Amino acid sequence: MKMPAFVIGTGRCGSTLVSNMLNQHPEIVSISELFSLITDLGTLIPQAFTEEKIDGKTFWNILSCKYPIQNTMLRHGVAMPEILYPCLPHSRFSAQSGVPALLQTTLPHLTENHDELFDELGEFLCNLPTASMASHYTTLFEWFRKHFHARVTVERSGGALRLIHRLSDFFPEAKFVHIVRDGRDCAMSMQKHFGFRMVMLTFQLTEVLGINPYHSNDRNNVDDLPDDLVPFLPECFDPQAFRAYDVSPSLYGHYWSGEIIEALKVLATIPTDQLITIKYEDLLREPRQEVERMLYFLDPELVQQSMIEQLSALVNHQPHRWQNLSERERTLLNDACLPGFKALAEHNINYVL
Amino acid sequence: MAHFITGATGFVGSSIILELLKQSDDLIFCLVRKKEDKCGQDRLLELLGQLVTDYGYNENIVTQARKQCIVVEGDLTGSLNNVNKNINTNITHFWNVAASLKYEERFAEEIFEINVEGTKRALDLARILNVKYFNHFSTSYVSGKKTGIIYETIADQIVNNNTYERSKVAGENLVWAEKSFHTRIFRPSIVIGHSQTGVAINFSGLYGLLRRLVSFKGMMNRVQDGYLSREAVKMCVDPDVPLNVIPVDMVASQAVEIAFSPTHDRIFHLTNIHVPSVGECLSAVFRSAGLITPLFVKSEDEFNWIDQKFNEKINFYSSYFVGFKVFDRLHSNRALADTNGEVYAVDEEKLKWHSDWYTNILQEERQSLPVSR
Repeated sequence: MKMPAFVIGTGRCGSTLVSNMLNQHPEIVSISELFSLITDLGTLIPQAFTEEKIDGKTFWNILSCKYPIQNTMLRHGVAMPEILYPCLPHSRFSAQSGVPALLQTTLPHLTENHDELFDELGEFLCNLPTASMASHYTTLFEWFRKHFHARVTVERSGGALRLIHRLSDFFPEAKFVHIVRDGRDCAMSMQKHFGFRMVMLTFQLTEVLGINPYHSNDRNNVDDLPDDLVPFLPECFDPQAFRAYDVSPSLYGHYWSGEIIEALKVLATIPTDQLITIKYEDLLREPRQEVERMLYFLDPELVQQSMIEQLSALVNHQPHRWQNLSERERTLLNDACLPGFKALAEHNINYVL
Repeated sequence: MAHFITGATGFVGSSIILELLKQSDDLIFCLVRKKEDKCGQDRLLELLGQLVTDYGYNENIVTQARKQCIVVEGDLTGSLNNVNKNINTNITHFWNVAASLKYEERFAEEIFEINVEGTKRALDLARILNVKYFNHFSTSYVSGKKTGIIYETIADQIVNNNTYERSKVAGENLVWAEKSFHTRIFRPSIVIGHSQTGVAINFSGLYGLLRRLVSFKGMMNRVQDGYLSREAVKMCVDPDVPLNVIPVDMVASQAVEIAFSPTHDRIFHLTNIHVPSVGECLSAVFRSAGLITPLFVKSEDEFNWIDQKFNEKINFYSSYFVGFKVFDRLHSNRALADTNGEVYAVDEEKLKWHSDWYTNILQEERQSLPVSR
């Protein structure tokens, strides 16, 4: 059994590009957004990383559940751009029926025959004996690897840096590709991203209500909810209010700093031969060099010149939108990202402020 | 004498009942909302029994409650037409304590329904019952944005801060205009838990602010662990002005004593004489919530985005933190001449003690909060 690898990073750090690059490589299975979606955007993490042993059917239920947050977004036309399942008239699942977590992105990212793959995988996983969650995941990744005749399975979920302590506990021998991007660019991108908007709203709803209203019908504390959060309750979700809900990039700057600071503590405990850090900016500037470095780290056998060229061609330069902020907003964003930059500098990952 | 009380199972209403039981053998007719799971009588007696324990009162009061309290099922938001049919005694004192303490704009209709229309219905019932005194509970903060010495006079030309205050002003005006019986308007300040045990059963006011702080801290911890333990939020308030808080038992004892006094005055501030400053109050609740004491600034221009959002979230409470107000107690003191009211000084540490009592409850409730890591 070959250990999977994980691409990790803060939200909007460029890991989607990496995932898409890896997906082009015939000897890599690129598993996209598995943990984002089976945790319903990070709100059901303990369930997806339970310490209890579970049977194959329970494991399959976790993977194939139609989770409420992602499906509310889908139903109201505010799904994340990462969602790939084609909700067409002839599709097996629709926005109204809800789409299973595994089918939202992960399987359509791998094949056009995602519905068939879904059934095949379900049949296989349901018959697994009771085992630890880590063992089930390893079996799942191995199944993908064999199914697609690949050498390596690489999972990548947006904002998975938040999961690093759980991933390193579950997969102590796994390799980790840590993508780092300028916090200000991450924050600007998170601000516009519906997934992170939903995460921030769910944080607030959960803190006021004492429960996650998407996973619980308890409304004992609903009177405490400020008027501005009411449109985001699932029973009265207002997509127009959702689109209009604006959060300063500086809040995401704080979020970015927090993620970096916490994760670096865990990453410091991972053996050096199991961890590689790639600056997104270096990937854009020197794609061939960075792609080669990444492939070599994952498995030296993956390094092929033609693949390096093909993968590097996917690089797409983006402007630094934070430079267009007002001076005050820019200062606030810089201040918010400063603790994160400092923490990175302590690990010799430097950014110019 | 006999009493009729609305809001009998509420924070202040239940304390009024306990005080009446302490001070008299009078019958007390209690308006209690019907609930599917339990009859009103059981619900009220259970609550009073619990409060007797929680407030550290003599257990005999529970026996008295069984004899003296008679539950009348009904609701101020519904018709009270038939309520009088269940009362075969002359009611001397009508206590209108029921109120909505909500404040978000989406509840505006409900707030007015209870605090204004409910007061109308209470007055109608009091007329039918031919009562002698109508004791109405309002708030000292009907004074709204007015600063300086606030007299025990009807609120006139006042700019209010929110719907809740407006509804209480409207309620007072109805009572003030009533000529069928003698009316008294009691205006407690910010009511906190029992002076001796800290126990409270309503978690608005100070407790609502504390809850907001704890939620905000939790939200920010999800954004960046420990952020608010390192960074102080900024507030644009007047830290040196007094903030009037008073324990629920003092509100009840003063109100009952005034009601039993021969006073002819009509408006009474049930306020505290020894109160903390806004700065001390905020320091107490912030510390209780595990937050750094806020930084007081002169202008909102000094806010960053998080400060701005934080201040928006506690906007309802912030209106109580600006402007120097002293509540004149001429009428209250005159009516309480013998005792002049019990003295219970609330300083920062005392307020922290009250806050900590609630923080412990919140921490217990929040143990099962879904995690985000």
